[in-house]
Amino acid sequence: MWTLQVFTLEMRKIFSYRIDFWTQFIAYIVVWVGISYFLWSSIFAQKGIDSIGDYSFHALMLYYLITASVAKIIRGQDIGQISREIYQGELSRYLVYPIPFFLYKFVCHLAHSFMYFIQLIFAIVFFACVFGLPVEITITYDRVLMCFLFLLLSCYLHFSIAAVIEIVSFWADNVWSLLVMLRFISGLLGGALLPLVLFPEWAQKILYTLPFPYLISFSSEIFLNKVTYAQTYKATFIVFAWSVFFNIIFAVVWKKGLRQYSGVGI
Amino acid sequence: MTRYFRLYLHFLRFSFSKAMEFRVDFFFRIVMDCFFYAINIAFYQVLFLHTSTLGGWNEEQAMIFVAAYILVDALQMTIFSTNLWWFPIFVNRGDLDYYLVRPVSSLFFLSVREFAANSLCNVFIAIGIMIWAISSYSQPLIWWKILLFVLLVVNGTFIYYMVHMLFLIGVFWTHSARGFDSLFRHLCLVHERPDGIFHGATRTVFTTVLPFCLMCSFPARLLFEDFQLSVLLHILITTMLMFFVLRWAWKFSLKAYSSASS
Amino acid sequence: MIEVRNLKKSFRVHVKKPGLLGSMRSLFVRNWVEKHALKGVSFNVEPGEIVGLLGANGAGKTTLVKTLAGIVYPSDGDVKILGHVPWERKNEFRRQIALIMGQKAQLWWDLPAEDCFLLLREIYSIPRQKFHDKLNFLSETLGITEQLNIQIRRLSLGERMKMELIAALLHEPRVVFLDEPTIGLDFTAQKAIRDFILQYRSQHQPAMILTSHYMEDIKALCKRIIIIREGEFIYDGPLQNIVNTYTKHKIVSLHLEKEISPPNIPHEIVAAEPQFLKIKIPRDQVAPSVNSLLQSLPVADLTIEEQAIEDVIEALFRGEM
Repeated sequence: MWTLQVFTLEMRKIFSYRIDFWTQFIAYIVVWVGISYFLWSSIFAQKGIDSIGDYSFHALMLYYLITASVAKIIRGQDIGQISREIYQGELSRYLVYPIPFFLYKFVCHLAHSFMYFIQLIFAIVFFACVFGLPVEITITYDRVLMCFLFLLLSCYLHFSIAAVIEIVSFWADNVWSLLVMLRFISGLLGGALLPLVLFPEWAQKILYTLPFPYLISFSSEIFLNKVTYAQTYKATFIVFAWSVFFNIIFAVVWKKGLRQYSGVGI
Repeated sequence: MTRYFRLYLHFLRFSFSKAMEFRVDFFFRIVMDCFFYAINIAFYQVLFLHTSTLGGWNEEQAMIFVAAYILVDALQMTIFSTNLWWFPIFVNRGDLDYYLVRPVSSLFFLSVREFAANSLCNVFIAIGIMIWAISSYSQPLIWWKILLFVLLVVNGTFIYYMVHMLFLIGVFWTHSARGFDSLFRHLCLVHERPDGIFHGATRTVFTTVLPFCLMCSFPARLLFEDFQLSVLLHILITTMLMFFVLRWAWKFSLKAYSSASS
Repeated sequence: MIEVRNLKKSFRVHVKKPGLLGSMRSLFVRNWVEKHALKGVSFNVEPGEIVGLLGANGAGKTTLVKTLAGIVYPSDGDVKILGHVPWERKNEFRRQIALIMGQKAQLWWDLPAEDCFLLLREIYSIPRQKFHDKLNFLSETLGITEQLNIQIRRLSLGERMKMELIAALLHEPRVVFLDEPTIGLDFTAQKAIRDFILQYRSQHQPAMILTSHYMEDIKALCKRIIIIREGEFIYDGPLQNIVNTYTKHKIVSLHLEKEISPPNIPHEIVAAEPQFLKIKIPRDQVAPSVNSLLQSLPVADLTIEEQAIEDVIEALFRGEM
């Protein structure tokens, strides 16, 4: 299986700079959850409340921890990989391989996601050991499994969207800013900045038909027992629909782009 | 001094003629930053659906604060960002050599030589947001306080640059600045949050050694609250100290660079 | 102009054992190896002199040049250039020197050369009129007036190097360091650059230090060469003398009229074919030996050659002489 080969090769590459990998992750989680802690503890204290949008303070912190990690998981590899390869003419290398480019890149992407996933598990275990789990949350196997499967879907959906943006670089010099834009939008609308229940009713209604909530917050919501089975099925369907939509766009744009590409720098 | 000013005019000219070439990217970057602004405003709008004050500020005040850090972001993207992005790469490739043989401060040259002309549009947008935020403020504001506020926000940009540079300077020893750079980018979030939410040791750190709170929060404090000379002095003295530390660190690291290279 | 006394430079290199364990260990325990790039060298360069600095890769050429330009701090020793210590990097010093590295571009990729030059005018505070005269003169001499307004990245390698030269010489430096200025260029471009450097020298009498891998450069430009091996000077003197000093033999080739069996000659025979002989004869015995060869053998034609200077220098690099 070439997919397995590619996956393990990519893993080995990641391992070669693992120190960076871990320190960056820890710094990121500590700073991000830390700032959220100060922000929300000031709001909780000021209002004298013990829950907001049915999140206790404890659960809210766990929510930030998970969404921060999930944001890393779905983004996987450094953004701009594919566009860089197109821009620098390295794409030709992949085109001669007898395997579909999209799938090849997705497998590479998954290897990175997997590393972040391991970090997420460590982060949750660490959190549970130091602060304990919020009382209202009991972890069941089926929920963890569902969370994991949904994460895979999130990865695929994000990759599908990002891939479409990346291949815009067939025509534009630098699509880096577009990818950063995706990061900003998925940060807010995906629920990494704030739990989506805090948004106004009307906004939530629109939001849940868009792909963004399913990128970041939904898997955390599954883990924290905030969604029902029925909602999960519906979410799965929406993710599929959006993925197909973006895959079709990719196929069309890719075909046009390749014609345009004509092997720069060969 | 005038020579440095004229040098800077050259950098400006270069960047504009360069920016004319990459049309699509020019546009993308403007849109990207606009999204950043919109998202930050939306974030605080949503927060204030659930609370009436945050770190001691009401929604109107928070909007002025948001406008301030948007302005800092736009300014630093325009003046410094590109340069600091290249800086670790230059050090690693040994490209500092040509800067060292010129009779001009290498720190100046490396920090400002690439002016991001496309981000300049965002500065205007950020100024627009600032005008909107200040004009929709319901209490009267004294004109000199507004002026002081704007000046201190510009000073905040300078602090932002200095802190970033101090984080990156480690590249002279580690040969990879990625860790430092990403740590800085995460920590940067602190300057986008009101200083009132931080307390204890954390607050001390963010108002002294890592003066993120002095970039926008303290200037905003001077605008809303009674004028306190101590706050103003706190900002100015910290800025000056940081500047000396940066100058010293630069000298020190150039020595390391020169001793290590061959 | 350039005075160097007992200049030393050593630096530490961190050695890492291969593999995962090795990199984990290196987190805690680092093994350092002291490398000596320069082991105490001394020399002077006078105005108008072009000194060729030769050596194999890693011999210390670039380190020496960079130390003299003030980029590298030495470990020990004294250097005075125009009365300044280079690594103090006084503006007064930097205004009077120029550094050209063939492998590193100093001009901005996306801009036309002329824009870069305008910036340099500001950096070196060159008066406007003088700047324009100088630029016109330099670009005409190098024949690239037409290309001044083209972005650097669209220029050919040769044109780019010419621009780099102009950039380095606009402020009329009194000390010029040229590190591989002709690397990767075709023959005509190399020659144009050599001629140009000679012309600059005759006009301004700068002290120049040149490193190059091309013997052609050295032969055309330098009367004096320094050969550096493992951080030490092994030769410092006129280019012409190097052959006399280091080769003890000349090569005598004989074409014979008829086939003979290998003769009995008291010298080393380098090559022997039925009608051809190549003999290595010590310098001081060339005349008598040739005489006796002419008498004892049926010689049709005879040539006496010096060993090629390239070969001598190559051998010096390798430490064979």
